Amino acid sequence: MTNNQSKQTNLERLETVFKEVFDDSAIVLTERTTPADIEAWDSLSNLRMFMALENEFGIRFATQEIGHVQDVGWLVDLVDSKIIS
Amino acid sequence: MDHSPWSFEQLPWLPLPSADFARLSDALPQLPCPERIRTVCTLAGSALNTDQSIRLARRWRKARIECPRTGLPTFRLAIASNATLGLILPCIEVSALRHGLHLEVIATDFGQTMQAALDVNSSVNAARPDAILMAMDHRGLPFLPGFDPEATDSVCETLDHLERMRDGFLRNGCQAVIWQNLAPTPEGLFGSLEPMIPNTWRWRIERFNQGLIERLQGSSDRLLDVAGLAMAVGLHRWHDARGWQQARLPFSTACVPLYADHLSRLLAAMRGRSRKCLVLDLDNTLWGGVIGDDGMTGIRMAEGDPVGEAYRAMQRLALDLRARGILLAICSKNDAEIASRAFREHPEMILRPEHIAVFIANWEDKASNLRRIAERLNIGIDSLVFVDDNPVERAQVRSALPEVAVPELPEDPALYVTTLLAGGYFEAIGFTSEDRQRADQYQANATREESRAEHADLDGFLQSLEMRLLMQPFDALGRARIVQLVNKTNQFNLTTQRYDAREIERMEQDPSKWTLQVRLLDRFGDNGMISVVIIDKRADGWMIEAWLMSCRVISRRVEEAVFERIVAAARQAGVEVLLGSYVATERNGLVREHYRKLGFERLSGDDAASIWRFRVADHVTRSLPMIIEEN
Repeated sequence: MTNNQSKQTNLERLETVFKEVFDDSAIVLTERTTPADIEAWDSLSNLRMFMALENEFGIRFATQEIGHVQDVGWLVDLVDSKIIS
Repeated sequence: MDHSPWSFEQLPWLPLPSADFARLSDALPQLPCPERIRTVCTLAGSALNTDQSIRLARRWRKARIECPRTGLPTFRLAIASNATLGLILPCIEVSALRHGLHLEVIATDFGQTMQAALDVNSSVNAARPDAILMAMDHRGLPFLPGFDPEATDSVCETLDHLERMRDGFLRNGCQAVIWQNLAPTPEGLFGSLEPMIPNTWRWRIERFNQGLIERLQGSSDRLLDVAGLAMAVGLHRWHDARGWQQARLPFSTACVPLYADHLSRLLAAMRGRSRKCLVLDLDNTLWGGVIGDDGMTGIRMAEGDPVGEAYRAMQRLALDLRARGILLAICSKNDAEIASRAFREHPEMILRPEHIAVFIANWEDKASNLRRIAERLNIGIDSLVFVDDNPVERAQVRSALPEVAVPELPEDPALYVTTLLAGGYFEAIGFTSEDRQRADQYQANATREESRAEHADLDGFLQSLEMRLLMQPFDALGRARIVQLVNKTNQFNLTTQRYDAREIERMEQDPSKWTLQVRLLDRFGDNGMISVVIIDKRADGWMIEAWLMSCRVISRRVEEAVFERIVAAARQAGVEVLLGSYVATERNGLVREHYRKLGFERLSGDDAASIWRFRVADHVTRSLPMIIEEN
């Protein structure tokens, strides 16, 4: 699997988690999606989203990583770095 | 299909949600109302995690707008908290449905709990909630922030602070109070010395919890035992520093459904909806093996055999529950003679025939047999918990009788006891001497039923019971049982008006009320307090605002004796008219004609609610087969 493919797959998995947590089946994620693009994204749903990602990928985020999502591309890279290490 | 591994937070006594859960919850608005409510209750009855609960709660909030009459009793709960409730609220709404309640929640604004308590016009007080839950986290209470060996004890001050809040809520509009104790913190500064060092968190929380229990003794306030719950989960799993720091979540997200279920049990118990009877299967539930195949010597329940001990533990639990007032019944596909012989003769059996109120072993379907058990005990189908190792039987009963609680059982019998208790079906809000004797009383009832058959004419039979009724006004001694009876009786209950301990206490002295508590003794034993009447002495006549009686003593003409007493008291007071009110519920059809049978005429109303009148002058004294003693 090339790096590009794995990112695509993880982005899809992220999209499934986002649809569930933000309760919006119309969400379409790209690497450029930001918190401002998703209406239900507040501090509590942000935390729920991180916890759901932890369950989905079997990883753990540190406090300093939660709450500073620049865009979804950044989040995908963060997930990637944790799966690889 | 199976919960494995067994994990308390995942509600392993509940069936796993259907694979279709998301679709079914999305489709709720398309269903007609009755089915919509049935479906949401079924979905809520499965082991939903936090995200699933939030999803279902959101769908239900929208879907219920078009169905204002849910048919479920409404409980209006206010919550005062110094933590984030965003995850907790939807989970509570869902778990309340699981326990047969329609919940309306009012939350205080973050950090505004004392203001909410003291202000008559706060959103909480203005809503006049059925109860206020004081869900306080230790990190937001007036404890000192850190460890200071020189500090004076802040535990009492903290409890005083909360008591002021409680008094405010009660004074300004809340009907009842639910306290929470505090989950101990998992870490310590001193290791094993921790509990002995004043002002450590461990020490403070222990003292707080102890002090709270002392203050709650004899009070009608309720306790949600968060400390016990957190310890059962494991303190490291319960607490979540990151969740607190990020969003002021009071405990781990994974534990929210479990917390919500425990709260809902308590609310259901406060509404008189706890289960009353444990119905047990036999083969591979109470003993290992199949008695029809393996025989008396082949089934396993011996001390010293690990498999046998697992089943013994189940029998021991059943007996302990019986001592608590829970009825036991057997419902098994078996030859009746072979099955009952084990109870009589097997030397290792802990349960014996005299412990079982109804014993049914036959080859009919279990749902019909469960209906029969409820009928014979004169209790509602929704009072039953049915335990069976066979998933097919469980599924059949769940679909035929959704009102029966049917816990999932894991493969391993060593987990049976844990799972059944984790389900919390027998949540209690009090424990009286009546509870202790209840199982015996039902047993005696069964014996009475048998002897009824020997007496062709009813009065002859009733005479033979040598009944004695003791009647007296409300008093402090009877208060706990009066409150219990008033809040638990559903079938013989004319108005199903509930009163809490404080209201009952007030009536003891209230000159505008006439009250009666009735105790029944007979040849077979003491039935305890079995009937309660509350009359409002109005100018236009005495209005019977509450009249209820335990189902155990139906068909014994007790209600007629009570009526004689009411008429005598009315006469003595020079009252000419008695008024009776009947308010129909799903469960009190039994007394629809109660007032007509006593000679009342209907003044107004319809099948749902009616007012009845009786002229004292028209009364003809009855001769009744019992002795009446008055105080």
